[in-house]
Amino acid sequence: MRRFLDTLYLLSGYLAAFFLMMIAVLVVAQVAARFFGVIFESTETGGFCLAASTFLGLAHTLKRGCHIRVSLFIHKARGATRKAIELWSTGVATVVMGYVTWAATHMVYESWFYEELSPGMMAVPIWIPQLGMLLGCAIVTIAFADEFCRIACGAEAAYQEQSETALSDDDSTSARVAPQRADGIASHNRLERGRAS
Amino acid sequence: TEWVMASGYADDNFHTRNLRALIADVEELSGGEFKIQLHSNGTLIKLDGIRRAVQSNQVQIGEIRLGVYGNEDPMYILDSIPFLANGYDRAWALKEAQMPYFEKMFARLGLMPLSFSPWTGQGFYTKNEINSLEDFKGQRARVYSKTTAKMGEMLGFETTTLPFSEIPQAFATGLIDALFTSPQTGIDIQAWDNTNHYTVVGALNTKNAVIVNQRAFNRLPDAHKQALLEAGKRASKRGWEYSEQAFKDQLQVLRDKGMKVKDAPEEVMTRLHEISKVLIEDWRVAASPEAIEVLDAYLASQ
Amino acid sequence: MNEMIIIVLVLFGALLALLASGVWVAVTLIVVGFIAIAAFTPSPPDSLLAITVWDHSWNWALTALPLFVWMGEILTRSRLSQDMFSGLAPWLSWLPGRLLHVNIIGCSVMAAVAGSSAVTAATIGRMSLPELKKRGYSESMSLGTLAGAGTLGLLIPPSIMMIVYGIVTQQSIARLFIAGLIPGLVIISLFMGYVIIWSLINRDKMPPNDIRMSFMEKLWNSRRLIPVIVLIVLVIGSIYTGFATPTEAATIGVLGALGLAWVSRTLTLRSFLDGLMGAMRTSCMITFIIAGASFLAIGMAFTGIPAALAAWVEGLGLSTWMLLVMLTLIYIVLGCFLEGASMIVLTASIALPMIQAAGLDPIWFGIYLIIVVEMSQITPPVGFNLFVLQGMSGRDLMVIARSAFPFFMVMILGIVVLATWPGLVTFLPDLMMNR
Ligand code: NA
Ligand code: NA
Repeated sequence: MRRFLDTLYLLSGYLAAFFLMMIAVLVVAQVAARFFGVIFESTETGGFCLAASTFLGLAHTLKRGCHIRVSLFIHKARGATRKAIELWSTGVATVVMGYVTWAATHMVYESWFYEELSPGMMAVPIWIPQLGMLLGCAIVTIAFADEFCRIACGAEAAYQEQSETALSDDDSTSARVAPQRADGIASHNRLERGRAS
Repeated sequence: TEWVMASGYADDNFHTRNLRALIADVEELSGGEFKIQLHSNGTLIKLDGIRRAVQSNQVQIGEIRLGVYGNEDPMYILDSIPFLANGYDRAWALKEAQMPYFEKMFARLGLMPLSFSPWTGQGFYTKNEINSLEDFKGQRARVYSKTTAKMGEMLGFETTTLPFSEIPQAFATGLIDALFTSPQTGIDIQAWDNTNHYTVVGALNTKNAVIVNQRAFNRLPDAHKQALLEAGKRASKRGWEYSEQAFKDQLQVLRDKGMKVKDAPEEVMTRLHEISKVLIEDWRVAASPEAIEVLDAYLASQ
Repeated sequence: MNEMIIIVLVLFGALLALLASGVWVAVTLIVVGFIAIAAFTPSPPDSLLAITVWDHSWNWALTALPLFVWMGEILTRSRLSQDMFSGLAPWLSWLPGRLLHVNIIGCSVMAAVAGSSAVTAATIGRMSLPELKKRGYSESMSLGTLAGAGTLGLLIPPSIMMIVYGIVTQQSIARLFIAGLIPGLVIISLFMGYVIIWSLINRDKMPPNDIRMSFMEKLWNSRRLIPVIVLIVLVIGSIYTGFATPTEAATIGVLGALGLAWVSRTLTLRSFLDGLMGAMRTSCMITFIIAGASFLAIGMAFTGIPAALAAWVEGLGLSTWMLLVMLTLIYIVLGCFLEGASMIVLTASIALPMIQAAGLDPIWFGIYLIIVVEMSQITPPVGFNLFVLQGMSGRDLMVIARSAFPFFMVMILGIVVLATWPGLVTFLPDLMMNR
C-alpha cells in the first residue's frame, strides 16, 4: 500500500512535469508556425497543460514539503500539541480538497453532459482538460488523508522531511552546481564566504 | 424577487446601458417587486464564464457573446458571415429566423434566451490607408477563429492567432498590423494608439444575448414572468436602436481621436462578397439539417 | 455598512486563525472564500468553487510563470547565475550595499520581460538567494530587496495589471505602459537609496569587501556576464522586435538557458530533469495559491465588500489628498486579502470616477493603483511575493513579511513622491503619444 501510494504521487508528479514541458513545446510550435505563416494556436492547449501541471503536481509537491503555510507557531510547538496541530491542518486540508474534488466531479460531469467545447480553434471538449483537475484534486486528497493517518499513527509527516530550499543550511545548492574553478573570483568567493560564516 | 445579473462590459458600453434599461423596465412592470442587481464589467463573473454561471444558477441572468460558442453549434456564428445579414433590418430578420432554434438550443442547456442585441458593423484597423486589396498584402492580421482565419487569408493578409489581452502589446511591437473588429472594440483597446485608419465595412452584426436560468424563471410568479418577457422584448428593440446609434457615435469617437475613418473601397467589398459565399458553404457543411433550414428560411425571406 | 464590517471581521478572523494554525495557504483561501459565499450570499458555493478554480488555472497569461521559473532553475543548476554574481561583484564593490543591488537591478531587468511580480521574484530569487547567502549577505535584506523589487514586474512594462486596468477603465494600455517607466525608475532609485542608507548604518551586517581589482581585471572578469547578457538580450529582443509576445518570450528564455547550459557543459539529463521537477513544484505551489485566491476574490465580489467600501469613501466627500490617503488605507486593507488583478477589477470602475472628480488624471490613477497593488504583494497574510519567497527560502511568511516591511514603506514614499509631482507619471506619455 505504502509503495503504491508513493508511486502514485511520484507518477502524477512526473506527469505534471511533462505537461509543464509541453507548454514550452506548444509555444515553440506557435512561434514557429507564425514564422512560417501557418495557423497554429497554443493559447488554449498551453493553458490546459498549465492546469494539468498545477493539479497533477499537487500531491508530489505536498510530499516534498513545497506547499507553503505559516510555520511560525508550528515550529514552537512540541509533542502532543504539535501532533494536534498537524492533525488539524491535514484534517482540514483533507476535507477541503475532498470537497473540491466533489465539486470538480460535478463540473466535469456537466461539461460532458452539455458537450461544452473550448472556444478556441482547437474546439477541445472541455471535460477532457478538466479531468486533469479532477484527477489531481483526488490524488492530493488521498495524499492529505495519507498524511493524516501517518501522523495519527505517530509517524513524522512526509512533507517536513524533504523540504529543500535555496537557503537550507546544508548548502545543498552549492553542492548541486558544477565544481568551482580555482581561479580568480571563485577562490575569492570561497574566501568571502569563509569569513562571513 | 431579487435576481443577480452578470455582464462583461464596461458601464458606458451601449450593451450595459441597455441592460440597465431592461432592469428598470422589469422593476416598473412588476410594480417594483422584481429587482435585478447588475454586476457589470466582469466584476462578478468574467464574460466567458457567464453562460456557465447562469446555467448553474450562480447568477440568474446574464449577458453572453454568442460568437464565443461557435464550436458547439454553428448557429452561434451564423451572424458572423459577412453580407449574409448586413444592415440592421436584415440582421433583425435573421434574428427572427434564428429565434425558435435558439430557444430549443438554450432549453437543452437549462437556459432561456430573453433578448438579443447586435454589435455594430465591423471594419479594419490598419496603420496604412486601404485603397485596394493590394494594401492588405504582407500585413499581419489577428484572427481568433477558423472563420476569421479563412477570411483573413482570402483577403490577402498574413494571419496570426492572439488572445484578446495581448492585442495592444502586439500592435506596439509590430507583431500584428491589422485588426478586423467593431469600432467599440477598437475604443476598448484604444486602437488609435497603434493604428491610423479605420476602414468601415459594416457587413455583419454579431449578437449578444441576455439569457436566463430556466429553473429560476419557472419559480417566478406569473406576473413577474410577464414583466420579464415584456422587458426582454423591449430590450431587443432598444438593442437594435442603441447599436445603430452607437455605430455613428463610435465612428465619430475614432475621428475625434485622430483616426481617418472611411468606407471600404469597392474592390474590398467585392472580395468580401465572394468570401461570404465561401463561408456560407462552409457553414452549411458544419451545420445540422435543422440549422440549415433556418438559414434557407431566412434566405428565402430576403 | 455595519453588516459589511461584520463580514470583513469574520472573514479576516477566519483567515488569520486558519493560517496561524498551520493550514496550508491555498487551502485557507478556499475555506475563507467558501465561508464568504455560503454564509453571506444565496449563491451555491460548490459550482462556483469548481468553475472559478478551473477558469483561473488555465489562464494563458499565467503560462509564463512556470516557464520563467524553469529558466531560473536551469540557470541556477548550471554555473550561469553564479558567474553572473562573480562578474558583477567587482563593479559594485564601491557602492554601499554591493551585491544587494543585484536583486533590485536584476528584478528591474526581469520586470521588463515578465508581466507579473511572482515571476519576477521567483526567477531572480531562485538565482540570487543562494549566491547572496554564500557570500554572507544579510538574509533579511536579501529577502526584503527581492520581495520589494520583485513587485516591479507590475510597474515596468509589460504588465498584466496595466492591461487589466486599461480594459476595465477604458484607458490606453500603451499610455499606461509608457507612464510606468519613470515611476518605475523612481521606485528603483528609492529602493537602492534605502539599501545604501541601510548598509551605511549596518556596516557590521555586511560581508567584508576585499575585492581589489584594476579596471582591466574587472573588464576581463566581466566575460562571465556575457552568457547572461546574451540571454537577456534574446528574451527582451524577442518581445520588442515583435517576434514573440511576452508570454511566448518565456519559452525563448527556457530555450536560451538550456542552450547556454549546454554550451557551458553543465547540462546533463539528470540536471535537466531535476530542474524541470523543481520548476514544476515551485510553479505548482504558486498556481495552487492563485487558484485559491481567485475563489476568495469571487467570494469577496459576491459579498459586495470592495464596492461597498469604495461607495462609502465616495460618500465622505473628502479633499483630494484625504481621498488619496483614505483610498490608500482601503487598498492596503483589501491588499491583505486579494491578489492584484481582483483588487483592480473589483474597485477601479468605482474609484476612478471619484478620482476624476477630484481632478486627477486616470493614467496617473492607474499607476498609483499599480503601486498599491505592488504593495499588496508583500503584505501578509495574502501576499504573493511572500509566498514565492517562502517557497524559495524556506523562511516563514512572517519573517519574510518583516524583511519586506521597509520596502513597503519605501513604496508609500514613492506614492507620496508621485502625488506631489504627478508630472512624473504623465510627462512621458504626453510627450510620446501627442495626439
Ligand atoms: Na513587467
Ligand atoms: Na497582501
